[in-house]
Amino acid sequence: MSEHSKLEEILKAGSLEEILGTAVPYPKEIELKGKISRETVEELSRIKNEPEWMLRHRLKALELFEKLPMPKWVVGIEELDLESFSLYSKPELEREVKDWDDLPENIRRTFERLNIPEIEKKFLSGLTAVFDSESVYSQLKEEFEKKGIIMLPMEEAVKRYPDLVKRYFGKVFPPGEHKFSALHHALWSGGAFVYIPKGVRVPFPIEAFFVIGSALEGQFEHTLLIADEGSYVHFIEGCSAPMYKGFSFHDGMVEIYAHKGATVKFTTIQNWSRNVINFNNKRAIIEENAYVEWIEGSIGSHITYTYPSSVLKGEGARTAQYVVSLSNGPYLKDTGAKTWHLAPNTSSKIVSKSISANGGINIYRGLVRIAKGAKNSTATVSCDSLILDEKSKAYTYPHNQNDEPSASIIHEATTGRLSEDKLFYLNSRGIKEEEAKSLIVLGFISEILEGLPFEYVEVLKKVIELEFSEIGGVG
Amino acid sequence: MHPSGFPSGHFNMPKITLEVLEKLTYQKYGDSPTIKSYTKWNLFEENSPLKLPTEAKGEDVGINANVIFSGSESKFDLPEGVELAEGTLGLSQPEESRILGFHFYALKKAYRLRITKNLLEPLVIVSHLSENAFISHHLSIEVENANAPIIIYDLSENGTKSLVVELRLKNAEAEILTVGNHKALSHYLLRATLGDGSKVRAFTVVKGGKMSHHREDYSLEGTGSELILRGIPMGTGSSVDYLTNVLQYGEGSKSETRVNGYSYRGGWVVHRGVAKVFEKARGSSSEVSSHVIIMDEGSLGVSVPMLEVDTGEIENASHSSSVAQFDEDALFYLQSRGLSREEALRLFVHGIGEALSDHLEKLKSKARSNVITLVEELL
Amino acid sequence: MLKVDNLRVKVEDKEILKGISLTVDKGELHVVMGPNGSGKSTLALTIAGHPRYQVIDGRILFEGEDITNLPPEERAKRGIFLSFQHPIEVEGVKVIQFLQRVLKNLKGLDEIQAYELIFNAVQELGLDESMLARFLNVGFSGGERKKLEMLQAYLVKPKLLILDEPDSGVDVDSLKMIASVINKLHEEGTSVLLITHYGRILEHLKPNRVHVIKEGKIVASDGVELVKMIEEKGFAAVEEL
Repeated sequence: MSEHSKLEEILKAGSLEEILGTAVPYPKEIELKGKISRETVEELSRIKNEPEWMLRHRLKALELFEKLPMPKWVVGIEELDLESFSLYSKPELEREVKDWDDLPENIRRTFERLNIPEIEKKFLSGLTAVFDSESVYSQLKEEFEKKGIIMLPMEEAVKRYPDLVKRYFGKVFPPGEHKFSALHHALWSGGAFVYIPKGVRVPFPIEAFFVIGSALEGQFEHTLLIADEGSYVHFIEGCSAPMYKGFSFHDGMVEIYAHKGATVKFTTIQNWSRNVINFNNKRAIIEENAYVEWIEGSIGSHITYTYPSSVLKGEGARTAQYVVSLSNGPYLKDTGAKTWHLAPNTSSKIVSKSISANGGINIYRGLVRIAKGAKNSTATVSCDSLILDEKSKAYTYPHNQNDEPSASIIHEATTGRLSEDKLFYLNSRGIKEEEAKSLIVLGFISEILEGLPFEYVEVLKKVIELEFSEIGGVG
Repeated sequence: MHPSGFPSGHFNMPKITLEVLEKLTYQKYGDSPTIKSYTKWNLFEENSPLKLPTEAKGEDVGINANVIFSGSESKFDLPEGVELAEGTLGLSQPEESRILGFHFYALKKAYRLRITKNLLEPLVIVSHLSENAFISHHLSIEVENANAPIIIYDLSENGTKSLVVELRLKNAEAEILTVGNHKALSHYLLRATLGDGSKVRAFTVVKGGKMSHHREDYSLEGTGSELILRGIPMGTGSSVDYLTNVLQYGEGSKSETRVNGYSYRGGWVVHRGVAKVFEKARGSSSEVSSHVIIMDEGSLGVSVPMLEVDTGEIENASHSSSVAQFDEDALFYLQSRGLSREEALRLFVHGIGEALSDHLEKLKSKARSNVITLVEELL
Repeated sequence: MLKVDNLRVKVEDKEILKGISLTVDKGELHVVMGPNGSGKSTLALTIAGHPRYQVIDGRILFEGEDITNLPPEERAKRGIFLSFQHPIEVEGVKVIQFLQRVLKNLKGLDEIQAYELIFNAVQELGLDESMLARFLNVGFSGGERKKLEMLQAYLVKPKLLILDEPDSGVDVDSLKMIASVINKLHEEGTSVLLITHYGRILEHLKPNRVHVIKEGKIVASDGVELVKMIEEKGFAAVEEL
């Protein structure tokens, strides 16, 4: 040990704050290259043939984007090329992959090992034009129409149901929240619009991309889901199989409005290629006795930011957020959940499981805020991190603020490593290290797997196995 | 690089000019996604050394102590084996933040103690202010190859008091009892670095004043260094922002932080703790438990225990946090045995004081009696 | 001694007791039995004054005084003692300190008088002295907690002893100890209201009256024979009376 205290050295460098994680891992500000002009946004709106009010919404958001400061908690991005965004939001240029052979080799190989049928392989590699014509769900669309369920690409909904859309669009997650939500509102393109009428229950999970197709592939897709009183829907977006994306920055948004007594389950599984910086804005407003459940599985991408949020607005509203995030390799996952309790007798549950391996970093950011008057509300948070080797890291930053004495927030977290004992036990039963690792990881996240449909769990399991196999996954 | 003539690790008292001071901010980053800062820095701004006088008379506090800082006066009555000098250990700098800038701006003299023999009696330090002024006290303590029990009484009755304690342990063990009893504005910073095999058992009970910012930073650098830190921040119609930061660099280092806070009668208690295990700290373990109890309507509690682990090669790392009111069932149990609500609350807090101080040896009873005194005042 | 008059009680907007009436005369031992969720514990906790249980109608009279709105510590001072089904842990407070406090509050004894009494009681009941130095119920097994409840009752010698399922989760030996304390207190004049689900403990006691409670109402009140019937045919049989 040297004579100098580490503290002295750090102090000379600046302040203790620098190493206390608020500026981890790169304390630089993101450089913005280029500019997004009003003309670009106007042209975008014109190409989409949008009504006047949507154009105004975009332009106001653009103004906000310019005014708002770069959020300090966004780490890991050094530079953003704004000009490339507007290119990508033009529909014809959304997909660069025209041919199966254009796909990176490791992705192709992964598909083979996953036994994904030919049709899906083509879809996942971006050849949706082929897929759309053979849609399995065309029959489903008829059923939906009979019940009054509206499910179509967001852009179509803007034109076909303007009043309905106007009532909710941008009201759950407004553009002014932070710089990237403003950016999203200015450039949004694609996404799904879902409306479930009063009392209607959709008894099986809806796998979004099969129904909406290519519209969900976009860079700035906006999904708006409205569940009217007493309705039930389970919406799944994304797919556990690896997806190649042509763009490198994704700023999507999901707005959910759950009316009285409604139940919405929203599942996102993301396994995008390693060139993507993935930014998600997800929020639900939950009214009296309604329930919204977020299940978030984040496997791929270079950096992912996602914090599914719930606002418990009505009495007896409930929510649960289950987040699994895997950072296998020199990647960063900055995930978490946010919940605001604004009414009495509300309850929330956050379960976060993160796995860091091969130099991966996982950051959990949680916020639970119980406002005064939210009597008898309870919030429980459990966030566990599993670090598989000495190079990987896990950071947890939970903020729990309670202004209501009759309410309670309880939070538990553990950060553990791969137990040698567990590994040895599995080894002694003939299971090799890599297989053992994937078994342990699957056990670690089993609580969350329970909420997913069977097929998803199967593919997810295979994906995780592949991640830890000799091939080393998609990365 | 050391200024010539100084043994390594000893520094002159840092100075700061008005020009540099004016550019400093209180915090570089917001405290949370929704709150800029938990500490009400505006109160410090209105009562800074630029607005208040930086000299004040001392007063007899009625505590028998070895080091007494009261107002601008200092008195020393040191036992054998404790050397006194001027200067600091270089563990705090004025440019870090505005409040430290103010601290050094108003500081007249910084003192340094060196302990090389086991102390049989606790070393008692008092830092006190009773006039409306901005007064800084700065004390550095080095303990080498010795055991030292230390008691710090941090008392602010009026004005703004800023106390910084720097601590360096080399192959040493220390028990530290900090009793903060405030009515006015107070700023407290403890910076400690633990070398190989050094151990600290710390217990802090701090009753907030108009606004008390109380921060303890421990850097566990030596192999096998250990810290057991327990704290009871209390806010009765007053505010406490209690920060505990533990950085572990040493292999096989261990830290355990337990904080139980109580907010009452419109009080505000915030506990924030960072436990960070660096990559080098293989085989280390770290635990943070942060629980704030809101005792009645109108009081507020915030608990933010942050955990950063830079390597998978750790023994154990966990944290838990809760912000809730008193367990109604537990209260009822005591009431059904004839205790009034107030008596029951008092018994609970008292009980926590007992449980949280059981890691102390020499200072255990002193810790408990101080908790009782402060709890009486709380209720 | 205790008169419960058409008591209706709700918890968080749910009505649990729907009009309970019963009378326990001085020196009697009454038993209340019923299936899970019937409201047995609610009755015990309401009489002891738990804030979560709100009385919507009816009253509770103790020695002629209406105690329906009295806070729990006042009821304790008047001689009502509840032995909890799930005694709470209180960290940092030693059992001995706690017992001294209880004796001071309810019996006016000073620390030294209390200490002697406690020490003797521990011997008489065959309990382990080391329990006194432990923190109140912290790390205690179910049986240990129940025994500590009985020690408290034994020391306090209340006018009315209410026991909320003293026999749940305890082994045979603990059960005997609990029953012997109840009997001793009963012999010395304490009135007892015992809530039980299993009825095992009744083998060691001589109740004056047995009440069966179902869905918040008393459906039967009779002598000890009722217990045998329940044991043989279950609670469902009682409906048919």
